Order: sequence, then structure tokens, then C-alpha cells
Amino acid sequence: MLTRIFGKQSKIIFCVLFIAGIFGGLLLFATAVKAILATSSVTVTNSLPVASLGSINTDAATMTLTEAATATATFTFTVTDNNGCSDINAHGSNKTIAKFYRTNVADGAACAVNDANCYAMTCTGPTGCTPGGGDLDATFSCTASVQFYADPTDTGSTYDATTWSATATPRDAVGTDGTPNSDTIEMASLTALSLGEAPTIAYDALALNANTGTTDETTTVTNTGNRTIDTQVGGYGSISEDTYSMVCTIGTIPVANEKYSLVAETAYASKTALVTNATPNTVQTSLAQGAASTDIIYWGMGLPATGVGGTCGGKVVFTAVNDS
Amino acid sequence: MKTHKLLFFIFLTVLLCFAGHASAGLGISPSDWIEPNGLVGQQIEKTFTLSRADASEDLYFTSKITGELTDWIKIENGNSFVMPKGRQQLPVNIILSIPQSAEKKEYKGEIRLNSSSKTEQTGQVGVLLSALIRIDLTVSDKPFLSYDVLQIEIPKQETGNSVSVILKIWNKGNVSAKPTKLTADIFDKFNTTKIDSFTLTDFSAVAGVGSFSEGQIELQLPIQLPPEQYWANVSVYQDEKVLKSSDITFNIVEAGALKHEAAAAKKNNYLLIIGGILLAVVIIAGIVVGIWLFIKKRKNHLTISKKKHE
Repeated sequence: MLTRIFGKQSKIIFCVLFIAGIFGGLLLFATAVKAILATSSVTVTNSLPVASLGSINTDAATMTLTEAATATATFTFTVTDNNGCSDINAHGSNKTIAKFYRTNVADGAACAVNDANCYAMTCTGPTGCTPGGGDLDATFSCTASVQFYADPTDTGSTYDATTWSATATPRDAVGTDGTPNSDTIEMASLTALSLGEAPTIAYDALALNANTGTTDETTTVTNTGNRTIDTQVGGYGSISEDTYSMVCTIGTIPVANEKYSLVAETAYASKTALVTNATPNTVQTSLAQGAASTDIIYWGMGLPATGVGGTCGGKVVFTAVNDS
Repeated sequence: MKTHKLLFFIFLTVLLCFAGHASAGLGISPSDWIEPNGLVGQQIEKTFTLSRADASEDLYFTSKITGELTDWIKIENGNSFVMPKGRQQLPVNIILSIPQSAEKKEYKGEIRLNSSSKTEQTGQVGVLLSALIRIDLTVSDKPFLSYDVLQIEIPKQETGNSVSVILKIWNKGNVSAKPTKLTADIFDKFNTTKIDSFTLTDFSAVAGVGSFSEGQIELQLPIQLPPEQYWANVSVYQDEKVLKSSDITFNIVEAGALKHEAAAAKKNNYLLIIGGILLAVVIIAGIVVGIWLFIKKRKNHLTISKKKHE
């Protein structure tokens, strides 16, 4: 009976024992190995990243702005981390940053963002990193859309003793600031104005020998550059410098018959006579740099007693000049 | 009806995309040209930039030069030129040639750039814009050295040669500019172990950067480095004054590696172009098939409706 039992189940028992033996052996072997191989560990001290080779607009000497618009400043730089380039920018929230600012602005690279003198740049990177530890550096490219009224630093401007700087502050997996790197550039003066959309000066019908009195036509001048500006005005009838303000179906109107003032409802006789565009007048608008710096020039017209008839048309030329 | 709605939407979208607001604005950067140290016989070149926010149409310019400098000025763009539609900025290059016979004194002049568009303005008095460049030149016989070092660069280079250092210089003076001293400390890639130090003072064989211009000077450090990444601390001097000092990384690569890199970059560019073309073809094909399916579905729908009515 026992023999039969053993006969049927011997294979099963053998297999169970065999598997148990293997596992047991492995367990013992593992323990033995554990005893032979000493566990070693080391914590690598973090090496802070270092920025270098900063370059604004491909090492340009000067940045030029665009009237009533933005211009792009591009700052490229390299970040080196001795822990390997994979460590660069690896922190969850504290990423590598760059600022673009007037060099002598309060707090320098830590300046408060302000369109006139301090921009936080938008960065892409790191690029050019081969993971694995052999490659230590990677590059970044950062941009800022710089407004037309950003402070100028070239000769003759208010801040001509300084420049603009871009500073990169590199960060790694720890998120602590590494060694920064900067480049500088001159911000060019931009002398500009805008007269709004489709501007014209359209007077009502006038009788011979009459004038517009205290009724004004207006042009709104906006400073769309980064210097304080005055506005030059000069007129002509149909051909530049022809000494007329208007050319009519019959006859012409002298340029001085068209007048202007910076004060609304000024009597025609007290307004300033327009001159030819060959030697324009400078109107002291003194428009400061800024996002919405505007002034209104008020216009009037007087007709001669004789010699003109029909419809009349002419031109006024506006020029922005640096405030004197 | 659905098709009509779709077409109207597309038409409206196109209209909105092309709708613009004609705004009259014009700027010049910079507007003052102050040259305190011109030499007789010298040619000075300067670039001014006209700009406008609204670039919806061509803008035509004519120039007028006044003052004592009229005959000395040449506008490289010509006396009349066009700022094309779509361009917000236009450089205007001006050359000022001081004659040998010029008296040593201050000269003033103006360049007025009058603009006009082909679109006639309605109303009695149309308004036009012009830009003004004011020139203030003092002719002297004194050499004036003034320059900035804009950038110090050690480009990636192959092993087996001396190490090139490139200085980008902006010469604001009236004589040729080059530094009088350069120091360089070379470190390993961890910026911890100094490998070598150099002081260069003999620049007699180096051509300087011409007056009133930007240019670069290439100098050689007499060291041959094996392929690896390095750090360098480079300082550039005029006499004992440090003009610029930079800590920079640079790479030395195996001989012939730069040629291979250039070839690989060229190949990648071709692959990108081909990939772009293929993608465009797939997108266009997708749009065409989509439109075809839409029309077919519409036709089937109309046919079924017609049959139902019958």
C-alpha cells in the first residue's frame, strides 16, 4: 500500500523537493554573495552650474527699436555643470533665467520688470546636451520683446553713460543660483511720431477774406520713440517747397494763411503761421517717452480776399526731432 | 447650405487676416550723428534705421541734404528709395567723405528723408511724415583712439594647432584699433586645474580694425591641446586698462571633426527640407481628400432627399 502510494506521488514529491532545493540553494547563495560583496555608496556633492559666452543679438554693438512696436532682443549663452549637462535646469520649478535691463537700473539683474528698463526674458533650453555625464554643457536662447520706449543709452541720450545688459542665472537640479554671465549692448535712440489712423486736416467751407476764427481742426501727435520729442511742421500746396498752403481750382493760398497752435480755440490772428516745408517750424510739443505720450496741434485757415475759387488741397509735413 | 456657411467662414477669416489699419507713424534711429574727431581725407560710414509699425504698403522716400556738408554726403540707398510693404525697418547707409582741403572746425548739416505713399489721402490737407538726421562733425588733426571689445570668443577648433582667440571690436575712434595686451589662463573642463598661462604683447603683425567700424581680430595662443572641453579666463587690455575680461568654455575636437560636423549639418538640413516637403504634401492631400469626402457626402445626402421626395 505504502509502496503504491510512494510510486504515484514520488514524482510530485520529487519535483516539490527539487524546486524547494533550488530556491533554498539560491537563497543560501545570495546570502553568501551578500556576505562577499560589500555595499558601497557615495553622495556626489552638487557642483553649481556656470554660465558663459553670453551674447546679445549675435554680439551686435547696438540694438535698434521699431516705432510704435516691439523689437526682439535675443540672448544666447552656455551653461556648464560639472555634474553633467543633464543636471542643468533639472529642478522642478527653479529654472535658468535671464533678464534684459538698463545696466544701471536699481537692483541690476534683480530689477523689477518695467517696459522702459527691465525685461524678464523667455528662454528655450537646455539644448545640445548629450546625457550620460561626459557632456558638461548646454546652450540656452532667451528673447524679450522690447518696447519702442525702452531707455536709450547712445551718445546724446539721458543714459549715455550706461548700456543695456542681459544676465543669465543658471540653475541645476538643486535650484540654487549658479555663476551668472552677462553681455552688454547700446540701446539706440529712436526719434519717432505717429499721427494715428489716416490723418487729414479738413476745414469747412470758407468765404473769401474769411478765416476759421476760434474753430479748430486737430491733429494728434503721439511720441512713438524713446526720446522726448518736439514736432516740426511745414507746408506746401502741390509741389514740395512751393510756398503755398493750398492749391485751388482757381489760384493758390499762401503757406502763412494756414496757422496752428498748441492751445485749443486760439483766435486765428493769434495762431502761428505755417512756413514752407523747406524750413519747417519746430513746435515745442516736448512729448516725453512712454506708452501713451500725445499732444494735439490745433489748425486754422484764412482765405485771401480775391484770386481763389473752387476746391483747395495741400500738404503738411510732420517730423519728429529730439527735444531741445 | 452647410457648404455655403463653410465658404463664408473661410472668406471672412481671410478678410480678417488681411484687414489692416493704416496708421501714420515714422521713426529714425538714431537721429543725431555726432562725430567729434573726423580727420581730413577720412571716410566715415554710418547706418541709420527707418522704422514704422504699420508696414501695410510701400513707402517712398526722397532725400534732401542741407548745410555745410551737402557735397560730402552720399546716401548708399540713393536719393530716392522705397521701404517695401511688409518691412518695419529699413537701414539707410550714409557715407561722409571729408575732403583733404576741409578746414579744421565744426560743421553742421541735415538729411531730411521725406516719405509718401501711393495711396492718395482724402480731405483738404493731407499730412505727410519725414525723418530728420542731424549731423554735427568736428574736423581735427588729432588721432583719437576709442574702441570697445564687444566679445571674446574661442571657437571650436581641431587639435594639432595653436588655439585661436577672436576679439570682436567696435572702433569708435578715428584711427585703426587693436589691443596692446591679452592675457589668457587655460583650465581643465572643471575649471579647477590651470593648464597654462599666456601674455601676448606683440601685435605688430595683427591688422587693426578700421576707424568708425566693427571688425574682428584673431590671435593665436601658442599651445596645442588634446581633444577635450576647457575653460579660459581671457583679459584684453589697452595699455594697463582692462577693456574686457571673460571666463569662457571652448572645445578642442579631433582633427577632421569640424569637416565631418559641417557635412552632417548639411545632410540634416537636406533631410529637414525633404521631411518638410513630405509633411506639406501629406497635409495638402489630407485636406483635398477631406473636401472630396465632404462634397461626396453632401451629394449623396441630396440624392437621398430627392428620392424621398419622389
